Amino acid sequence: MNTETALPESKTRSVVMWLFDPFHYAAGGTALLAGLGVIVTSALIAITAQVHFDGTLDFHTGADAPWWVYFAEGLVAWLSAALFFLLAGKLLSKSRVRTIDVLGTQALARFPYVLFALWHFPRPVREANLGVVETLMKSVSNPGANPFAGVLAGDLILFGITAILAILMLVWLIALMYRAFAVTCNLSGLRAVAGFIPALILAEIFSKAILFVLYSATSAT
Amino acid sequence: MRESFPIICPSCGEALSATGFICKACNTSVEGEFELPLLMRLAPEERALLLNLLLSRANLKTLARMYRMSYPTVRNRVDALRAKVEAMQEQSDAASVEHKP
Repeated sequence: MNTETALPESKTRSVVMWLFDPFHYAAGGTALLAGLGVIVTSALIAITAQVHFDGTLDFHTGADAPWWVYFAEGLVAWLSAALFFLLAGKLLSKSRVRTIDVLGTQALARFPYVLFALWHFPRPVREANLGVVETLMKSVSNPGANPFAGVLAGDLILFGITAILAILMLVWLIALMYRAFAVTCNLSGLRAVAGFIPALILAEIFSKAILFVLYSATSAT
Repeated sequence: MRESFPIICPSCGEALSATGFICKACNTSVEGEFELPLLMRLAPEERALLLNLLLSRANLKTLARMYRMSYPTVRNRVDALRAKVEAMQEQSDAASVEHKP
C-alpha cells in the first residue's frame, strides 16, 4: 500500500456518529434528499398525531388543521433556518459556503422531530396529552384549585414522558442544527456561536411570522 | 514495514533539519545543514491530503468520495491546510530575510 497517499482511518462510522454528527458524512444533494424525506415523513405522521411544527424550533400538539398546513409548517420551519444560517455563514465564513449544503443539512437536522411525531402518534398518548392540557387550561380560570384535579395517573405519566421527550428532542435538534451550521460554513468556537444564536432567533421569529400569515389566510377562507 | 519520515524532535518537539544525504549509486555523501522543504514539514496525513487533492485533479467532490466524507468536511480540511501552508510560507520568508547578509 502506498503510505504517501494512504487515507486516514475514517472516524468510526458508528450509530452515535450518524446520530449526532451525520454531516461529517452527508451534505449537499444527499442530505437534501434525505432531509426532504424527513420533513415529508414528519408531516405525514403529524397529520394523525396532531403535532404542529409551527416554527423553526417550536412544536405543539392539539389543534386540527387541513393536511397541507402540516407540510407548509415543515417547509417554513426548514427554509427559515436555512435562510438565516446561510446569511450568517456568508457573512462570517472565509470559506466558500454552498447553498445546497446549508439547505440539505438543515433539512436533515430536523430528524428528531420525526421521532417526536412518532411518539405522539398512538391514540392513548394523544388523548392523554390533550386531556391533561385541557384540564390545565381550565384550571387557569380557577387559580386556587388543584390544576390536575380529575386527571388519571396514567395520563399524567404519559404527559410527563411527552414533556421530557419534547425537551430532549429540542436539545437534539438544536445540537444538529449547530453542527450543520458549523460544518457547512466552516466555523468554530466563538465565531460559530456568535453566528448561530442570532440566526436561530431570527429564523424562529421569521417562521412564526410567515405561519401567522398562513394561519390567518386559512381561517379567513 | 516502511517507517514514517520524522519531522519533529522526539526529545524537545522542535522541527528537525537534515544534516546529510547519501547517493546509493556511488556512495557519495553530502553533509551540511539542510532545512526540510515546506511540504516535508507537514504531518503525514496533511501530505496525503495534498497528494490526494492532486490525484483528484483538485476536484473536491472526487476527494470527498475518496475520503468517504461530505464535501464541506473535506473543503474545511483543505482550507485549514491552505491556511497552515500560508503561515509556514510567511515564517520561512521572514526567516530568510533575517538570514540575508
